[in-house]
Amino acid sequence: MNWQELERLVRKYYGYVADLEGSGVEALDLLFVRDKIQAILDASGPEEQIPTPIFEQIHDLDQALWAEGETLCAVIGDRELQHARRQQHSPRSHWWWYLDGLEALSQPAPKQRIQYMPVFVPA
Amino acid sequence: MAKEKAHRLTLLGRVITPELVRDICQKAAAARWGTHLLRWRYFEVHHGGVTYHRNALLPSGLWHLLKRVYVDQDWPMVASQEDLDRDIQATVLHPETEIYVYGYYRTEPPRLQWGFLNPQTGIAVVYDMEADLIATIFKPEEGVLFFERQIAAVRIDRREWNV
Repeated sequence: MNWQELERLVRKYYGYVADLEGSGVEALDLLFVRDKIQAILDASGPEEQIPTPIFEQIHDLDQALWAEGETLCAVIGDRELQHARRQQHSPRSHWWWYLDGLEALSQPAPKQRIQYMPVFVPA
Repeated sequence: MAKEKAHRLTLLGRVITPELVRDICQKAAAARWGTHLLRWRYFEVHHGGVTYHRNALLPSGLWHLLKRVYVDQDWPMVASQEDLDRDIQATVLHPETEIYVYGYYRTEPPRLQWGFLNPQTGIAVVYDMEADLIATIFKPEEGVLFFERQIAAVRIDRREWNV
Protein backbone atom coordinates (compact mmCIF):
# COMPACT_ATOMS: atom_id res chain seq x y z
CA MET A 1 0.00 0.00 0.00
CA ASN A 2 1.34 3.40 -0.97
CA TRP A 3 0.53 5.67 1.94
CA GLN A 4 2.09 8.62 0.19
CA GLU A 5 -0.59 8.38 -2.48
CA LEU A 6 -3.29 8.26 0.17
CA GLU A 7 -1.74 11.23 1.96
CA ARG A 8 -1.62 13.14 -1.31
CA LEU A 9 -5.30 12.47 -1.93
CA VAL A 10 -6.29 13.41 1.61
CA ARG A 11 -4.32 16.63 1.22
CA LYS A 12 -6.34 17.43 -1.91
CA TYR A 13 -9.54 16.46 -0.15
CA TYR A 14 -8.64 18.87 2.63
CA GLY A 15 -7.90 21.56 0.03
CA TYR A 16 -11.44 21.32 -1.25
CA VAL A 17 -13.36 20.76 1.97
CA ALA A 18 -11.60 23.51 3.91
CA ASP A 19 -12.80 26.04 1.36
CA LEU A 20 -15.74 24.66 -0.57
CA GLU A 21 -16.77 28.03 -1.90
CA GLY A 22 -13.25 28.77 -3.05
CA SER A 23 -13.18 25.47 -4.93
CA GLY A 24 -15.34 27.13 -7.57
CA VAL A 25 -15.22 25.44 -10.96
CA GLU A 26 -12.94 22.70 -9.59
CA ALA A 27 -15.49 21.46 -7.06
CA LEU A 28 -16.49 18.42 -9.11
CA ASP A 29 -12.92 17.17 -8.72
CA LEU A 30 -13.54 16.76 -5.00
CA LEU A 31 -15.90 13.89 -5.76
CA PHE A 32 -13.29 12.13 -7.88
CA VAL A 33 -10.70 12.64 -5.15
CA ARG A 34 -13.00 11.09 -2.57
CA ASP A 35 -13.68 8.18 -4.94
CA LYS A 36 -9.96 7.51 -5.15
CA ILE A 37 -9.54 7.66 -1.40
CA GLN A 38 -12.33 5.13 -1.07
CA ALA A 39 -10.75 2.87 -3.68
CA ILE A 40 -7.55 2.76 -1.64
CA LEU A 41 -9.43 2.10 1.58
CA ASP A 42 -11.45 -0.67 -0.08
CA ALA A 43 -8.32 -2.27 -1.50
CA SER A 44 -6.39 -2.27 1.75
CA GLY A 45 -6.32 -5.68 3.35
CA PRO A 46 -6.65 -6.38 7.07
CA GLU A 47 -2.89 -6.84 7.33
CA GLU A 48 -2.31 -3.32 6.12
CA GLN A 49 -2.52 -0.83 8.93
CA ILE A 50 -3.62 2.53 7.63
CA PRO A 51 -2.04 5.09 9.96
CA THR A 52 -4.58 6.34 12.46
CA PRO A 53 -3.95 10.04 11.72
CA ILE A 54 -4.94 9.49 8.09
CA PHE A 55 -8.13 7.72 9.14
CA GLU A 56 -8.91 10.56 11.51
CA GLN A 57 -8.32 13.17 8.83
CA ILE A 58 -10.61 11.37 6.40
CA HIS A 59 -13.23 11.04 9.11
CA ASP A 60 -13.04 14.72 10.04
CA LEU A 61 -13.16 15.83 6.42
CA ASP A 62 -16.09 13.53 5.71
CA GLN A 63 -17.97 14.99 8.65
CA ALA A 64 -17.25 18.50 7.46
CA LEU A 65 -18.31 17.68 3.92
CA TRP A 66 -21.50 16.03 5.12
CA ALA A 67 -22.33 19.06 7.25
CA GLU A 68 -21.57 21.42 4.37
CA GLY A 69 -23.32 19.36 1.72
CA GLU A 70 -25.59 22.22 0.75
CA THR A 71 -22.63 24.44 0.10
CA LEU A 72 -20.97 21.82 -2.09
CA CYS A 73 -24.16 21.34 -4.10
CA ALA A 74 -24.45 25.07 -4.57
CA VAL A 75 -20.84 25.36 -5.71
CA ILE A 76 -20.99 22.40 -8.09
CA GLY A 77 -24.52 23.27 -9.21
CA ASP A 78 -27.58 21.04 -8.95
CA ARG A 79 -27.77 20.36 -12.66
CA GLU A 80 -24.05 19.73 -12.90
CA LEU A 81 -24.06 17.34 -9.97
CA GLN A 82 -27.02 15.34 -11.26
CA HIS A 83 -25.55 15.17 -14.74
CA ALA A 84 -22.12 14.04 -13.56
CA ARG A 85 -23.63 11.48 -11.20
CA ARG A 86 -25.71 9.92 -13.97
CA GLN A 87 -22.66 9.69 -16.20
CA GLN A 88 -20.46 8.34 -13.44
CA HIS A 89 -22.90 5.63 -12.26
CA SER A 90 -21.75 6.27 -8.72
CA PRO A 91 -22.89 3.68 -6.19
CA ARG A 92 -25.16 4.90 -3.42
CA SER A 93 -22.50 4.00 -0.89
CA HIS A 94 -20.44 6.87 -2.32
CA TRP A 95 -22.62 9.30 -0.45
CA TRP A 96 -20.55 12.33 -1.52
CA TRP A 97 -22.15 12.04 -4.95
CA TYR A 98 -25.63 12.22 -3.39
CA LEU A 99 -25.37 15.16 -1.04
CA ASP A 100 -28.22 16.92 -2.80
CA GLY A 101 -30.57 14.18 -1.61
CA LEU A 102 -29.25 13.58 1.88
CA GLU A 103 -30.21 15.34 5.04
CA ALA A 104 -27.28 16.50 7.08
CA LEU A 105 -27.36 15.43 10.69
CA SER A 106 -26.03 17.74 13.31
CA GLN A 107 -22.30 17.24 13.75
CA PRO A 108 -19.88 18.55 16.37
CA ALA A 109 -18.70 21.76 14.71
CA PRO A 110 -16.55 20.12 12.04
CA LYS A 111 -15.58 23.44 10.49
CA GLN A 112 -13.70 24.36 13.60
CA ARG A 113 -11.64 21.23 13.33
CA ILE A 114 -10.50 21.53 9.74
CA GLN A 115 -9.74 25.20 9.51
CA TYR A 116 -6.13 24.50 10.26
CA MET A 117 -4.45 21.26 9.40
CA PRO A 118 -0.76 21.56 10.26
CA VAL A 119 -0.03 18.01 9.18
CA PHE A 120 -0.15 19.28 5.59
CA VAL A 121 2.15 22.23 6.04
CA PRO A 122 5.29 21.54 4.00
CA ALA A 123 8.50 21.28 5.94
CA MET B 1 -12.43 27.23 -45.65
CA ALA B 2 -15.04 24.77 -46.80
CA LYS B 3 -13.57 22.28 -44.35
CA GLU B 4 -13.90 24.75 -41.54
CA LYS B 5 -17.55 25.31 -42.33
CA ALA B 6 -18.09 21.59 -41.86
CA HIS B 7 -16.81 21.88 -38.31
CA ARG B 8 -19.18 23.98 -36.32
CA LEU B 9 -21.58 23.40 -33.52
CA THR B 10 -24.07 25.37 -31.49
CA LEU B 11 -23.99 25.36 -27.72
CA LEU B 12 -26.11 27.61 -25.51
CA GLY B 13 -27.07 29.51 -28.62
CA ARG B 14 -23.45 30.26 -29.50
CA VAL B 15 -22.13 29.08 -32.83
CA ILE B 16 -18.68 27.60 -32.30
CA THR B 17 -16.42 27.69 -35.30
CA PRO B 18 -12.72 26.98 -35.80
CA GLU B 19 -12.17 30.72 -35.95
CA LEU B 20 -13.81 31.17 -32.57
CA VAL B 21 -11.80 28.33 -31.06
CA ARG B 22 -8.56 29.90 -32.29
CA ASP B 23 -9.66 33.20 -30.78
CA ILE B 24 -10.49 31.49 -27.48
CA CYS B 25 -7.08 29.82 -27.42
CA GLN B 26 -5.33 33.14 -27.90
CA LYS B 27 -7.38 34.82 -25.20
CA ALA B 28 -6.97 31.97 -22.74
CA ALA B 29 -3.23 31.87 -23.39
CA ALA B 30 -3.03 35.51 -22.28
CA ALA B 31 -3.60 34.13 -18.75
CA ARG B 32 -5.76 36.97 -17.48
CA TRP B 33 -6.95 36.36 -13.94
CA GLY B 34 -10.04 37.91 -12.41
CA THR B 35 -9.60 41.14 -10.51
CA HIS B 36 -11.58 39.88 -7.53
CA LEU B 37 -9.95 38.95 -4.25
CA LEU B 38 -10.19 35.51 -2.68
CA ARG B 39 -9.87 34.71 0.98
CA TRP B 40 -7.00 32.40 1.93
CA ARG B 41 -8.65 29.91 4.28
CA TYR B 42 -5.72 27.55 4.73
CA PHE B 43 -2.64 27.64 6.91
CA GLU B 44 -0.11 30.44 7.00
CA VAL B 45 2.41 30.22 4.16
CA HIS B 46 5.65 31.98 3.35
CA HIS B 47 6.22 32.49 -0.33
CA GLY B 48 8.65 34.68 -2.21
CA GLY B 49 9.71 36.40 0.99
CA VAL B 50 6.16 37.27 1.98
CA THR B 51 4.02 35.73 4.73
CA TYR B 52 0.38 35.12 3.91
CA HIS B 53 -1.79 34.65 6.95
CA ARG B 54 -5.02 32.73 7.18
CA ASN B 55 -8.03 34.76 6.08
CA ALA B 56 -5.88 37.15 4.08
CA LEU B 57 -7.51 38.46 0.91
CA LEU B 58 -5.42 37.64 -2.13
CA PRO B 59 -5.62 38.38 -5.84
CA SER B 60 -7.14 35.43 -7.69
CA GLY B 61 -3.92 34.45 -9.47
CA LEU B 62 -1.87 34.47 -6.29
CA TRP B 63 -4.53 32.48 -4.42
CA HIS B 64 -4.35 29.77 -7.07
CA LEU B 65 -0.56 29.78 -7.03
CA LEU B 66 -0.41 29.32 -3.26
CA LYS B 67 -3.03 26.60 -3.29
CA ARG B 68 -1.29 24.68 -6.05
CA VAL B 69 2.08 24.95 -4.31
CA TYR B 70 1.27 24.55 -0.60
CA VAL B 71 -2.05 22.73 -0.37
CA ASP B 72 -2.13 20.45 -3.42
CA GLN B 73 1.68 20.43 -3.70
CA ASP B 74 1.30 19.86 -7.44
CA TRP B 75 3.64 22.76 -8.24
CA PRO B 76 7.13 23.22 -6.78
CA MET B 77 7.73 25.64 -3.93
CA VAL B 78 9.90 27.79 -6.19
CA ALA B 79 7.02 28.36 -8.61
CA SER B 80 6.12 31.99 -9.18
CA GLN B 81 3.04 33.68 -10.60
CA GLU B 82 4.92 34.02 -13.87
CA ASP B 83 5.60 30.28 -13.87
CA LEU B 84 1.93 29.53 -13.31
CA ASP B 85 0.92 31.90 -16.08
CA ARG B 86 3.48 30.30 -18.38
CA ASP B 87 1.96 26.92 -17.58
CA ILE B 88 -1.45 28.29 -18.56
CA GLN B 89 -0.09 29.51 -21.85
CA ALA B 90 1.84 26.31 -22.53
CA THR B 91 -1.17 24.14 -21.70
CA VAL B 92 -3.60 26.08 -23.85
CA LEU B 93 -1.31 26.25 -26.87
CA HIS B 94 0.20 22.77 -26.71
CA PRO B 95 -0.82 20.77 -29.81
CA GLU B 96 -1.59 17.67 -27.72
CA THR B 97 -3.84 19.54 -25.31
CA GLU B 98 -7.46 18.48 -25.52
CA ILE B 99 -10.04 21.23 -25.77
CA TYR B 100 -13.53 20.99 -24.29
CA VAL B 101 -16.41 23.42 -24.36
CA TYR B 102 -19.38 22.98 -22.06
CA GLY B 103 -22.30 24.70 -20.43
CA TYR B 104 -21.88 26.36 -17.06
CA TYR B 105 -25.32 26.60 -15.46
CA ARG B 106 -24.39 28.15 -12.14
CA THR B 107 -24.81 31.57 -13.66
CA GLU B 108 -27.98 33.11 -15.04
CA PRO B 109 -28.01 33.00 -17.96
CA PRO B 110 -25.76 29.95 -18.34
CA ARG B 111 -22.49 30.58 -20.07
CA LEU B 112 -19.86 28.69 -21.97
CA GLN B 113 -16.67 27.52 -20.37
CA TRP B 114 -13.62 26.16 -22.09
CA GLY B 115 -11.44 23.44 -20.69
CA PHE B 116 -7.90 22.61 -21.78
CA LEU B 117 -6.15 19.50 -20.57
CA ASN B 118 -2.65 18.40 -21.48
CA PRO B 119 -2.57 14.61 -20.95
CA GLN B 120 1.24 14.67 -20.76
CA THR B 121 1.40 17.02 -17.78
CA GLY B 122 -2.06 16.44 -16.34
CA ILE B 123 -2.51 20.20 -16.16
CA ALA B 124 -5.98 21.59 -16.86
CA VAL B 125 -6.98 25.17 -17.49
CA VAL B 126 -10.53 26.49 -17.31
CA TYR B 127 -11.27 29.66 -19.24
CA ASP B 128 -14.49 31.64 -18.85
CA MET B 129 -15.39 33.00 -22.23
CA GLU B 130 -17.95 35.57 -21.10
CA ALA B 131 -15.75 37.10 -18.44
CA ASP B 132 -12.57 36.62 -20.50
CA LEU B 133 -10.60 35.32 -17.58
CA ILE B 134 -8.88 32.23 -16.31
CA ALA B 135 -11.10 30.45 -13.79
CA THR B 136 -8.41 28.05 -12.66
CA ILE B 137 -5.35 25.98 -13.46
CA PHE B 138 -5.04 22.68 -11.64
CA LYS B 139 -4.45 18.95 -12.00
CA PRO B 140 -7.82 17.19 -11.98
CA GLU B 141 -7.59 13.78 -10.39
CA GLU B 142 -9.23 11.92 -13.26
CA GLY B 143 -7.85 13.97 -16.13
CA VAL B 144 -10.21 14.50 -19.04
CA LEU B 145 -13.06 12.88 -17.13
CA PHE B 146 -13.38 16.15 -15.26
CA PHE B 147 -14.41 17.85 -18.50
CA GLU B 148 -16.30 14.92 -19.97
CA ARG B 149 -18.62 14.93 -16.95
CA GLN B 150 -19.65 18.55 -17.52
CA ILE B 151 -23.04 19.34 -19.04
CA ALA B 152 -23.15 19.15 -22.83
CA ALA B 153 -19.39 18.78 -22.95
CA VAL B 154 -17.99 18.65 -26.46
CA ARG B 155 -14.41 17.81 -27.29
CA ILE B 156 -12.92 19.86 -30.08
CA ASP B 157 -10.67 17.73 -32.25
CA ARG B 158 -7.75 20.06 -32.86
CA ARG B 159 -6.60 18.33 -36.01
CA GLU B 160 -10.01 18.06 -37.62
CA TRP B 161 -10.87 21.60 -36.67
CA ASN B 162 -7.39 22.83 -37.55
CA VAL B 163 -7.09 24.79 -34.32
